Amino acid sequence: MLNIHVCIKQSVDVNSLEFDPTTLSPMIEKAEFRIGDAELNAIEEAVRIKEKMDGKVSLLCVGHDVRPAVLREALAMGADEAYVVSDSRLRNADQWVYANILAYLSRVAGIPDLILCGESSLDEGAYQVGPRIAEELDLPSVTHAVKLEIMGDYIIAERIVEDGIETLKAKLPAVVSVCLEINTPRLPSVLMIRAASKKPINFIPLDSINLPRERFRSLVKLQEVKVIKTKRKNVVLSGSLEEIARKVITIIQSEGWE
Amino acid sequence: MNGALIFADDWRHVPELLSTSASLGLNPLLIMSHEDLVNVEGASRYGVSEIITYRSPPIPTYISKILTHVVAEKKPRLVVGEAKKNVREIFGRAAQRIGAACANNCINIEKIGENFRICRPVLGGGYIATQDLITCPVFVTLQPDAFKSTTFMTSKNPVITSVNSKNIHIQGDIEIIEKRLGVKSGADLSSADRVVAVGKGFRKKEDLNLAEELSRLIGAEMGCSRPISGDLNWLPDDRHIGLSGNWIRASIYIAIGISGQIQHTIGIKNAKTIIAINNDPNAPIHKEADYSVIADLYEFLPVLIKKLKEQQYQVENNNHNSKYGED
Repeated sequence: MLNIHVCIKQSVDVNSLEFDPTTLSPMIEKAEFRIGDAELNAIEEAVRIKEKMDGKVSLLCVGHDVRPAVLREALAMGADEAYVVSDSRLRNADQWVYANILAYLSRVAGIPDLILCGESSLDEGAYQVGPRIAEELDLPSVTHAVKLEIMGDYIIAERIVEDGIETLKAKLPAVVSVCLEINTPRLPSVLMIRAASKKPINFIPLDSINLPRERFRSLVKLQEVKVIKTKRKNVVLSGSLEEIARKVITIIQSEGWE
Repeated sequence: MNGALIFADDWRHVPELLSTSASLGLNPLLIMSHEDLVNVEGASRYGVSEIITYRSPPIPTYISKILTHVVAEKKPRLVVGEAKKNVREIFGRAAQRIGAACANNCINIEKIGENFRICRPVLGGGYIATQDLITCPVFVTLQPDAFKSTTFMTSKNPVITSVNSKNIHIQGDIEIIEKRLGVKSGADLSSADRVVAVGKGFRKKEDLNLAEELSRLIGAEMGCSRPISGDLNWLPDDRHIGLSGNWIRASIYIAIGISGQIQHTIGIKNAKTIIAINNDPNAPIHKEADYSVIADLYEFLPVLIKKLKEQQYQVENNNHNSKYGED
């Protein structure tokens, strides 16, 4: 029986996010929220391991304004329970704060055999929380994993690095961050989402967490966020395919040189 | 101490990391590197005062302990490295141990008073966040966009010391049991002047021939979106353009059958002219394009290739004629 913890984050759905044309800032208030892509891969991988080897999957989620509906969808993929810290004071939390609280939640949820994370969150894209949790809990870490297999007390992980693929063997418990390429997350049906409403979601009050005060204080102060705007001509080429081809060749030849 | 510690996972960008640190007014400059990688001659030209070497297999869980030890001893203000997978993992662990701020994939770094201000892509790569890192030290990994050059560099011979890892308590049980070197194209997309990239609009691998032929005719490098290299393995990973891949600066970029998710488009923001070929008029790539061809790539590419060939034939013929005309 394996205990698997999966760290998830409720993120802004970046593909539907709009920006304010005057301030160029993202309109977060109007955005939709969902679990990040790589964390869906992490849940899927945990559920596959559970289906093969028997175990329990606990979701750990830290954020502000975390919505139960978002958690239900994640639970419906096959996780068993969720531990959640949701507090408006965490609006500007950085990866240090997230890692401290997630490591705390992992202790609350019981001793894990394996902790899974996404390689980076959909909104922050910081590439830090997995390694930070591993350091906090004194566990080995693996990042950018594309294949996992449990072998007794060890996990065998394939990871993508810049010059190839490494196979690592790490003693459990370990913290593994997975890539988008590791699997295709299942889409839970409406029935499964409804059935997931019986699964326990444990909301833990921020004030009940017994950690030194500096562990809740962000080390990064956000100044601003602005959309990347590159001015483009946005010309749709018209005519027959031959005419368009001729225009494309002219563009390549005339604009292609500095 | 007040300077910068350059963590050299490899030495390719060490000169840029040194000059960027020097341009921030940081002094002295230290390098930490695996003992097999050290290039003393390269470092002496940049006024490096010390090179600290270590021995360890390339496993971040271990190297982060050594880095934590070196940072505690040398007390740099800035620990800086290239934005690579192992470097980010090593920095994340060491920053957590020390209680320090860390920022990855930065495209700019400045010093504002006592703090460092960085810019980095967020929200899938469509936005840039400006953040102040308010600890000492800070850990930062840089994208090439952040590299700065500095004119003032003194030449001196660095002291070389090695980390005594006997004093470092290395925990964890982790080893590399196999390493397969990836198939590499060897292409340097980030410096290519023309790039043709393919996406999921291509139905099978053989069909990439069309894009290859177009690339050959116009002298372009081939690139792709992440699913083509990552999920489908149709092209080597070093051809992937996007947030976690190459950021190109081509003067002509042609996107074929690429939908244009923001994770891809951050990689093309510095391209001068963008041509998008996609039969879906609502595909987001058209918003990022200078010129859009709304047509089926399977119908359009053969026509474009035929026209290019005809034109080249004519150019060759003209050259041929003029050569003989001069005689």
